Amino acid sequence: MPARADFASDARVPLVAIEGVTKRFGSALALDDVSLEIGAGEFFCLVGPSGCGKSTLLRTLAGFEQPDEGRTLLDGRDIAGDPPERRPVNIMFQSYALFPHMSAAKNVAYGLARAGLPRAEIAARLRELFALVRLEGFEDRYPAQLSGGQRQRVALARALARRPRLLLLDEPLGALDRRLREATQIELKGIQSRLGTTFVMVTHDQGEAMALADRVAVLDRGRVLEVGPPSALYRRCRTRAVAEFLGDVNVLSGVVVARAGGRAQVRLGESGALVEAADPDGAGETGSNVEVAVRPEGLVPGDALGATVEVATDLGPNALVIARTAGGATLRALLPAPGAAGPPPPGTPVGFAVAPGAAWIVR
Amino acid sequence: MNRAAAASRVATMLPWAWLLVFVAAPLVVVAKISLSESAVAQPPYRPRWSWTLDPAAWQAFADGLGLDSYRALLADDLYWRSALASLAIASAATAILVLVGYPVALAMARAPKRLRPVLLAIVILPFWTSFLIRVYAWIAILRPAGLLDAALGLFGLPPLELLNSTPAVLIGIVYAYLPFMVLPIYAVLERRDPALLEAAADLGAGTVATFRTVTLPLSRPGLASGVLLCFVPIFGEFVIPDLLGGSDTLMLGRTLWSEFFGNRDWPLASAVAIVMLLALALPLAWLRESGLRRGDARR
Repeated sequence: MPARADFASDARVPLVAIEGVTKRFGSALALDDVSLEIGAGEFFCLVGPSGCGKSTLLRTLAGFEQPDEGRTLLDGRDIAGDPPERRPVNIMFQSYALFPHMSAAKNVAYGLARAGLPRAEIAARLRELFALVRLEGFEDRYPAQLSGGQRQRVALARALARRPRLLLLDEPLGALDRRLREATQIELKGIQSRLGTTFVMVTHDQGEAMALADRVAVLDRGRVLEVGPPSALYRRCRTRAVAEFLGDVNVLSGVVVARAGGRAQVRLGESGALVEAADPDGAGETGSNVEVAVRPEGLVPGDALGATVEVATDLGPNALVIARTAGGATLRALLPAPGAAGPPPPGTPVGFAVAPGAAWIVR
Repeated sequence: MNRAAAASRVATMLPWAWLLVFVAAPLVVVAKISLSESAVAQPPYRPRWSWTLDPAAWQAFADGLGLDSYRALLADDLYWRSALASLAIASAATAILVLVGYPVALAMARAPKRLRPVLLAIVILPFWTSFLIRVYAWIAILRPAGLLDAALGLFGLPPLELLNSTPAVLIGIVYAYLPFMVLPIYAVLERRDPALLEAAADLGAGTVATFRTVTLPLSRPGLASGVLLCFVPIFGEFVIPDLLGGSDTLMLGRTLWSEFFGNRDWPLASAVAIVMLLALALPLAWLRESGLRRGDARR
């Protein structure tokens, strides 16, 4: 299958521009003034808790929902009036929505037949697509005769068949068991980079977003909280809500005692220990109360924070220690593998320090 | 055998007992009458055999088995003509029912969820009055100078005087059987996955293409039930052709009735009933069999 050379895109214009989109269902606000830009060839993830509006945003791009306010541009052109069947956009449904009365091949060929492609070309494309999703030999099976993973591949092939400019994926891996999901993530990423198609994926699984996305938008209650590459958001997000959504995090309160460049010296409220925290937007002025975020892997053995072990779990490559400080705060730390002696028993006093560069200030 | 197993055995046998008492036994009686001789008696036939284990009686029965009634069926073209007329009317009525009932079912399935029970109630509502009264109401509508002709007269159109004609029978049948066509189709359409329609639209199918490639094929089971529920009873329909049809409206049900009660020829009438049953049941059994085999591949 040829890569994105099919379409010449103006590099200055993002493929998708969502401008101030608002969508209400009755009195409920599903999307609240959402603005996003998605570049051509990007793997973009919409994440957030259920009900945050991510699926509504995807359905707006597919054309199933009309925004009440705002514009949706594809290649700089407003597509608000285009019905789903006339958008160069395809969607892979969470339920897959395979046609139960059609074989796998007929399902995948459905969009091609609607486009009026000649038989020979449909046959050639089917061969490419079934090879792409590694389902050769299953063309004549009906959906009910396929496993969950195979159905997922048929749905992906069907959504890719028309070579959309934009592929929307609604929780594409949600119905798979964990092992299959991890294998499929790698494959999905491979297919995306081979085809160069722009993918917009909705997921509630932040690990999936980390593994797949070039950029992530975190949504909550219809608003975009933050947008950025997942590694940057994971380590340097602006808000506590995003930090908590993207994984386990320890949030410690303290007072800024000094600032230099993008960094601040914070005196932690409970232990009085000094911690250096990144502060890229200068949220913490000297003397102000701030919250400092540290991921569990950012806590190392040390003496800045004293605590007592509540639970310690040996995870194999490392150990997760949940400990309580004298002030009652819970700390989660990912420590190196404990060795043959096993993790420390509950009640053991432990001390932690913050690894250099691991802490940052959140609002 | 423990008690629970015995109870479950009885429970599984119950439907069979039911079928035996209410379906098989009457059929055997009708078949027996169809093999008897017509006679001036009460009841008006003389059995050629009776429930006996005496081999001589069976031998005599086999020797004398003339199948007179069945031969009479073949000899008189009245029966052929009524059968063909029934087939024609049942086919036409079923076709009209599909054309009228499918859009109704589709509109109901597409209506907002809270409106659906109301629509459903409206479809079922006629069942709350007697079938006979509803057919009589049609007499008032269709008779010369009746409601229909009066309404046409208001627009300066000539009267149709439909009563006692085949079109009147078709109108009556379509009216009476519409719920039996609408409900099974609606039941299937209402359960369909809305994501399938979105998938079709997403893949470039307009309204017509979506209907042709997704909605219609997926509603086939409901359509088949509706056709079956209408065609079979319409084929043997007696009341509507009798009340709304003319003297030239032949239908097998009516012929059967006149053999039973007009001519008091029970053996012949029973033979008509048996032939009608076989003519309906055998093709249906075959259709079902072949349909199941085709369906197997998808489950």
